[in-house]
Amino acid sequence: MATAISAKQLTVTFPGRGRRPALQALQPLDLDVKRGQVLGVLGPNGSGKTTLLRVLAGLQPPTSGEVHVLGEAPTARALTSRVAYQSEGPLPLTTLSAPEYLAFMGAEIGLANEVCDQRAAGLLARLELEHARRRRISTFSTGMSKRLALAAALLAEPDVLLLDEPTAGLDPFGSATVMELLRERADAGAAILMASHQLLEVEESCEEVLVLHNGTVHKRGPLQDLLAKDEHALIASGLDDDALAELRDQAEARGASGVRIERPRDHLFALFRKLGRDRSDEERQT
Amino acid sequence: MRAWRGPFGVTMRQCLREASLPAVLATVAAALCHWLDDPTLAEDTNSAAAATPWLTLPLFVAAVGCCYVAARTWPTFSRRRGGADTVRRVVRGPLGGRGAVALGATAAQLVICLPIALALSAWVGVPPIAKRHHRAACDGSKILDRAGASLRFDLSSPVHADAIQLRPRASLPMGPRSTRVEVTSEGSPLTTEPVEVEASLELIRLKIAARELTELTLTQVDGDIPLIFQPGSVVIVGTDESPRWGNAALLALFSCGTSILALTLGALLGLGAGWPTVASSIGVAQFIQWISGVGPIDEAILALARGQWLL
Amino acid sequence: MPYLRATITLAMFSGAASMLPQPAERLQGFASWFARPARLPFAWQGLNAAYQGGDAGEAFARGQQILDLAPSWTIGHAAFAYRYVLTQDTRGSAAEQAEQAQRRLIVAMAWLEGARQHAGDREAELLHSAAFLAPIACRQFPGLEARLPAGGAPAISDRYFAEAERLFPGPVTREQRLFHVPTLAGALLSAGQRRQAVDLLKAAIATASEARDQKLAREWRDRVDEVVRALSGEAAPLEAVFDDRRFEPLWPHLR
Repeated sequence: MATAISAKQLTVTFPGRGRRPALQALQPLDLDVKRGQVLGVLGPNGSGKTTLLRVLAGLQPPTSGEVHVLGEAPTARALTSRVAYQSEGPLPLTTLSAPEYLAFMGAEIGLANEVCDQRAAGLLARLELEHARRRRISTFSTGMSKRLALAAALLAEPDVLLLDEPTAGLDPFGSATVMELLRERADAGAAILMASHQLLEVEESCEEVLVLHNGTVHKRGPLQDLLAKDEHALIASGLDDDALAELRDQAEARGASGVRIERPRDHLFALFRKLGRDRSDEERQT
Repeated sequence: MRAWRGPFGVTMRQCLREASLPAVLATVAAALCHWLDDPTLAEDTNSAAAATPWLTLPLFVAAVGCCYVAARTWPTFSRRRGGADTVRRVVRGPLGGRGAVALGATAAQLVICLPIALALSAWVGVPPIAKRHHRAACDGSKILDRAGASLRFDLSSPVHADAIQLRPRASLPMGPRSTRVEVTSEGSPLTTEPVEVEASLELIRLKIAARELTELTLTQVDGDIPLIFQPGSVVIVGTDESPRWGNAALLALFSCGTSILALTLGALLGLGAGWPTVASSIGVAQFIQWISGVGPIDEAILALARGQWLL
Repeated sequence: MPYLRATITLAMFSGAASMLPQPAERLQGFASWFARPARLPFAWQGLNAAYQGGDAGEAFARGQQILDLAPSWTIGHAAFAYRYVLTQDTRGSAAEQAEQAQRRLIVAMAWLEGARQHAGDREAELLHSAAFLAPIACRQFPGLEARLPAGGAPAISDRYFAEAERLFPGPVTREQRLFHVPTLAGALLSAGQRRQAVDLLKAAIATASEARDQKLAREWRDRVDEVVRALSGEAAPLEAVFDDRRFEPLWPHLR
């Protein structure tokens, strides 16, 4: 797969002012994201996640190092429509309505009016913002604003998506829709970099994660490798207590240690998702 | 059209949405105040000139409103505004969209101010005809201080005129006699008698037979009051008549200049300052121009009210 | 629903306001009082603009606006009225100028009349200012006197002096009228009203004793008596009359 994003020895230092010392937000960092890949960027507050995304979006010049996005410098004009950036902060132009805002974004990234309107209508419907199309953005809830920001990011069907907390403030249904859209985009070949504190969603949607700490890469790798434990689980149903005791004895006889028998639990997230599916089915039937 | 969806169109629509109502309310208030305030005993053509505060108020409100809405709507107009990153990324260009925003605001202001200027100028009784007033310039000395002294005032181009206005400044009298001045053009007198001047900055209106003038000569006949003719003290009134609505439209257009200046100042300050500073600077810039009379807009409103063509 | 309530409320208040006696004047008065602190600085600014670039009519209009905000300022009323009447922007023949001056005089007099209701104790000052306006205007514009009604400027002045004496009877107002008699008598004589002039002078003799300074009163009475005798065809020594500039309006009729 072709490389969508590459950074070599990237550093960002914010100069000090007066008594405030200089702050090195990113230590020398190497990064490599392929097309079609979904990379989660994790880390505590102040670890440099947002700074990294802003450098890739062309909003923060690097202090040193090389950065290329789709083979160009991040500030290249040609990338405006090919690279989408969803910032963590509030939306601009909150006195506009959602369709007006998307029309503005579409015009600025060079979309033809008809194409923009068509895509905007589809995204608003998909992200369940249709009912609020006549309202000003300033009246939106946090979740609605986030969904609209994502709609703006997806408008140009970009090749690179840089998302800062895309699901913060969203209910589980909204999150699920967002993740679905991102998955579709990744399947179409877009590279997605997603900074998030929603660990469960990162776990469900990202193949690989990058963990930052104090501006350096603490860990990077496929989730499977990062989360693997030296344990095995056997999942079965329909066994009584005697059968379970016999299984434990057999495992210990074969050299296993720390054998325990537990009833696995589903995630709360999965419960909500099931509720969501049931709700959609009911709505379809009515 | 893509421009209509971009910063220009967004700003213009927003300004029309938010600044129209305050401007309309200000217009109603101004009309009411003029009705209450109208100097009832004034000669017909002059009560409009006394009504300039009521012409100013709604145009000022429209100007301030459009500037404020534009600067508040566009997040890169000041520092640390929410959504600035998003806008900065997509709106490229050296000004970051601020130029288009300023144009959008002034376009909205023109749309709002045009009907207001047209309606209010009729309501307060601005003269239905405006005439072009040409300032004549004099090189060299501008003082008449003894009998026989003369000053020549040239016009940049020939003017077909039927009236002349003089407004000299009088210095300390050297004796009891008021100064009499003969007014001629190309050697022929324009008035039957010399003009008598007594007071400083006294307006002297002379009706003359309509003719083409290229220059004017003022010659002191006698008198003890030295007269100083500073720039603008000799005005030739052309015979061309223009309608009031045209003059009012020009005023609406000129009023946009105040917002260009205020928004430029705001944008420059916004490179380093936050919203309160930018908003205050815009407000102060507009106040200084509209209310304190710094800049041409104050003169333009007076000229409209006095029946002087603005161009 | 909320709009309906607001509409009904507005309608009821409007109805109540429309039932107020003289609502327009009350509204105007209230609005003036309320707006005064904000309006006055700009009104002065406007007045300066009128002096710098406008004409006398504009300055007078601005002055009216200022005095609407400060209606009890009698000196202001007088100052603006005088300036308006005595400033002639548009030059023309003497007859044209006199006609324009007459129009302005009528307007200014009407305005001063209107100012009387707010003058309070200073109404006498206002009336005296009004009394001198017409004679001064006639001196400025020679053709004006001929355009005034019988008696001319002195008759107008006497009416105001009489009004002042009526409203504020006292030595000052009486003396003011008394010492104006020669001017008025001269005007009456110029208009051919000899009998009225003589009657006026005889009345002045009778009231001369009311002057505060009795020496002055005696001198005055003697001089007026000489004039009456001269006008009645009797022989009278007129040297003192011709030496006294207060009797100058009568000189042409005594030679």
